[in-house]
Amino acid sequence: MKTSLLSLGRTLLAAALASAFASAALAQSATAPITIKIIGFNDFHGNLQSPGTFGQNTLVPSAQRPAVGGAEYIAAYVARLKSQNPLNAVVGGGDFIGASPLISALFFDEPAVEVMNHVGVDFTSVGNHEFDKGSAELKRLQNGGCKLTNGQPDPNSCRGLGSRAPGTFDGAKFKWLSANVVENATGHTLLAPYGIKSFNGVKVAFIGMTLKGTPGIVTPTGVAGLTFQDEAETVNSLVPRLRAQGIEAIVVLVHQGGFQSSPNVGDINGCDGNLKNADGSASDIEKIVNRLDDAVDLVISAHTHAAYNCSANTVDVKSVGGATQSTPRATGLRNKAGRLVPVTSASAFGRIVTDIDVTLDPKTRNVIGVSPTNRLVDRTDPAINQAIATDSTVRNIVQGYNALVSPLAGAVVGTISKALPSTANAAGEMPAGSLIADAQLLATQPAGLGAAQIAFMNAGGVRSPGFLSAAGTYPYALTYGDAFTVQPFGNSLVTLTLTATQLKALLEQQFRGCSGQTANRVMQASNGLKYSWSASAPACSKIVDVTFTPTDVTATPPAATGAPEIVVSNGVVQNPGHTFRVTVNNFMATGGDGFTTLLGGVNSLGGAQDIDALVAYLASYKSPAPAYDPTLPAMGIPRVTQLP
Amino acid sequence: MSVAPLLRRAGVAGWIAAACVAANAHDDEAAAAARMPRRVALLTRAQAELEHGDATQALDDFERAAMMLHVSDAELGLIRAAMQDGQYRRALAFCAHTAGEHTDDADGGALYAWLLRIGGQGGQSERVLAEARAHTPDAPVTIATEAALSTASPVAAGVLLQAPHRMAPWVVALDASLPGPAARFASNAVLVDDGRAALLPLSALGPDAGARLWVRNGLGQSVEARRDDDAALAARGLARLRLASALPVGVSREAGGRPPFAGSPGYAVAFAATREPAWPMLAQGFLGGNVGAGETRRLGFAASPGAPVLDARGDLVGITLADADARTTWLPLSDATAAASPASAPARHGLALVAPDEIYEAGLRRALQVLVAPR
Repeated sequence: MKTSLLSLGRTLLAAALASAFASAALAQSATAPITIKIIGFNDFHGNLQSPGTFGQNTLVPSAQRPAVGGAEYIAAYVARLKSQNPLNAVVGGGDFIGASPLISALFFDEPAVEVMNHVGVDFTSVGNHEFDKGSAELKRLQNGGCKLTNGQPDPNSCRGLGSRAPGTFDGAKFKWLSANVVENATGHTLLAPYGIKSFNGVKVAFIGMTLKGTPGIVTPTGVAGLTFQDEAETVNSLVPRLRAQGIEAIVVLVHQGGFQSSPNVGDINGCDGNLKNADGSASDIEKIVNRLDDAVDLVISAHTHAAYNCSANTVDVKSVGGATQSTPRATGLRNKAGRLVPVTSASAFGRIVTDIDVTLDPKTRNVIGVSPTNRLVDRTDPAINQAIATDSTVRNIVQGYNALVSPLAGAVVGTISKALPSTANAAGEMPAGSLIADAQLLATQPAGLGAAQIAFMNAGGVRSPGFLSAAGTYPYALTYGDAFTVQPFGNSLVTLTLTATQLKALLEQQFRGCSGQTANRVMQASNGLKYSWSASAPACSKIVDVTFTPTDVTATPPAATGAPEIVVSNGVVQNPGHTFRVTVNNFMATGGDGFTTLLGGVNSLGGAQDIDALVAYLASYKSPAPAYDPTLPAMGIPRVTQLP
Repeated sequence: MSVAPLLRRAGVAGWIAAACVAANAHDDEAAAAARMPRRVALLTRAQAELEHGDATQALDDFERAAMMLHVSDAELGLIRAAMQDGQYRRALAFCAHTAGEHTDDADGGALYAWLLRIGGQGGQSERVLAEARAHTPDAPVTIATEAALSTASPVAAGVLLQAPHRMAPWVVALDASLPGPAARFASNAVLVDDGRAALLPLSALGPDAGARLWVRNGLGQSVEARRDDDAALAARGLARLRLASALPVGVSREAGGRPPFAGSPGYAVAFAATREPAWPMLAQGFLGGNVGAGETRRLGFAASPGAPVLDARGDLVGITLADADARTTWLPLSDATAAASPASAPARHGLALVAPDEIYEAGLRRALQVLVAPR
């Protein structure tokens, strides 16, 4: 019993100790500082592509400065930093849009917003350039929807390469913050004044603002109906409101900044001259910080495109005897209470991101440490390149918009007299398919390019909706973009030799049940070939008659160059050994869509891309030449006849 | 408003001096710029480096000046230095910003419109110019740019050649010889053979076999050249020049193998008929098929004879010619026997179009002006 009591005592003691340890651990974890990661950058200005090279400082020789920036690289660097700490926030200092290269500007800066969505930005302040096109347009970019021009959807809006679907624009999934921009009509801020993120129960507020002087540097129509208030006063007035919500950690994102001054080597983690103006006077950003409430813990600044890091991590960099000497110097800009506040800026155009570790006291909810480091968005980093290769989402968006920037995307390539849909008639013939087959014959008809006599296009490769005018008006000038919609696969052409027997076998293989074919797949035939098939005949015995008339499709309209030849009559091949040069695409040539008969073709010769062939063919029907008209007898349509 | 208008009024020679004069302006930005002697010194040095052909060092110094103050003068310098260095895309992207940021300065908008136009974005160029006209309708550079860009082959002259916008490269002689005042524009030409030779239409060279010849690229780099006739080339209607020293070819390769197929995207980069250093212009469209049974092919769009023809990747594939009816044709430079290659065209994915700025940057070094003068 004693033993038992002792055992019980031990058990109770153990339980009590375990409980005490657990409570202590809990208490400790509840009071242990929390480190979060804030990733900041500014003045992206729609630079989806690299703006060039950039050095850690100006002492780095030009030849050694790496290429930097590009949306996919920003995304990869941000992803890397986020992976280092799940407690993170991605923020911006404004001017994400406006004064942007064509790849973004042409599409109303929707590409910049879309890639920032993929980067995972949480909040950004507005900058002066967010107002370039006015507050209504800024709200559209925030909320989504297509741009209207003269009341109609603009063709360059809602391309949607980075949105949910083509024809849509999601809008910003991040919040643009405009604490000091007030709509005169309502008295409310244009957009949210601040955003809040909670980390293990500790809230951090991000107040976003542009410079008070925005109206002086933006087109008046862009800021009509808006009032821009003093930056420091705006922040200070929000502090009690935030504290009332239990928030003690406050980060200011402000689109205003300064420059490092003499001795300037422009190190991205320097704070030369403590950002004072060259004449020693206080810079714009310093004037703001000097008046900020002591509750503000960190200022992420912008606007000047300068890189600086005025914080505990500041380094003074200089050249000593040709060598770069770096000396730590903890600093910051003094606030209203005289305390040094960390102030950062990450240059511009996505060249740099600021990696900031912020330590929070969960008990007081206050910031107890800020450790910022500016990092180059270095395009030569192997691990980053591997990450982009693994997840190429953003790269694909950039490349997609890069193609759409080309004026050739909208260039007229030919004219059609009527709609040429991709829907097949009962015999299996498609108006769009006949045109494509003729184009492929044209591309391979010259002796040096294949000496083709017949071309077949697989029906599945003629994409919906075919060649149509969206407005329903004809004649219609087809653009390269229209053509690409119908022929998007990037297939190339292959010309090979088939005997008459193989040609009939190929035609039979169009129908379910013949030589492993699993569905009816009627090919689109080129001008000069005509055949009939019986719907009721058994598999592999459906082809009734086939005639071939040599036709020159380089002529406009096409012209027969020889007498018709009967290839098959009443199901019987007339001259089994006679050969034909037949063009198909490389998908079919390798047995695609079940056309294994083509694997028996010989003397194959590679040819053009299908889209190139299409463009070359349509060039003959481009104004001022007459439009492509499938009803002309010379087009030889219909080419396929269905018999009972 | 910033310091650039003052600089423009001062002209090329007085550009740097004007930065100091700007201290008297009522404009804070200009005054701040002028109060920074280190910055002014950097700009002075960068400009000198640019004019002496050291574009890389000029880029560094302009960039350093740009880190001191956000004023358009340094940005315009960066843009011109990037162009002088052959970095068209960098220049274009930066100029988009400068034009949008400093809308009170006519220089940025005018230069951006010019850069867009020469790079094949005529529609966007018009849009930018319209915006520049709205902001600075009376600025001489806006007016002159509009006049020049209204022509089919714009030539920068007069105010357009002044800093800080200067819409042309500075001349950089890679040998001791520079074209004299008697030199005239003879033709466009194509840089080949790793930069050691140039091809041009035989008909472009006059009967004076002893005439002095120079070639100059879009970076303003100029070298003397001599005729190096070749019977096989002559039979194809081409003349060859051997350069006194090699010019850089850049990233554009001389594509071997089969020429691009009809219907594929194609580009030509050609200079206007001017003896002055200039930036060439990009023309684009779709390549056509063969003219009859010969090697010559239709171009599918207009371009001056002697211009390099580039494919969808920016690789050199041929030279433009003019047929008897003055229609533009082109002659593939690759081996015609490759036409029977069993391989298909290389796979392309997506819309498979490259933005013309990439093509232009490749063509900037391949396109040459040929200048000729009697001995």
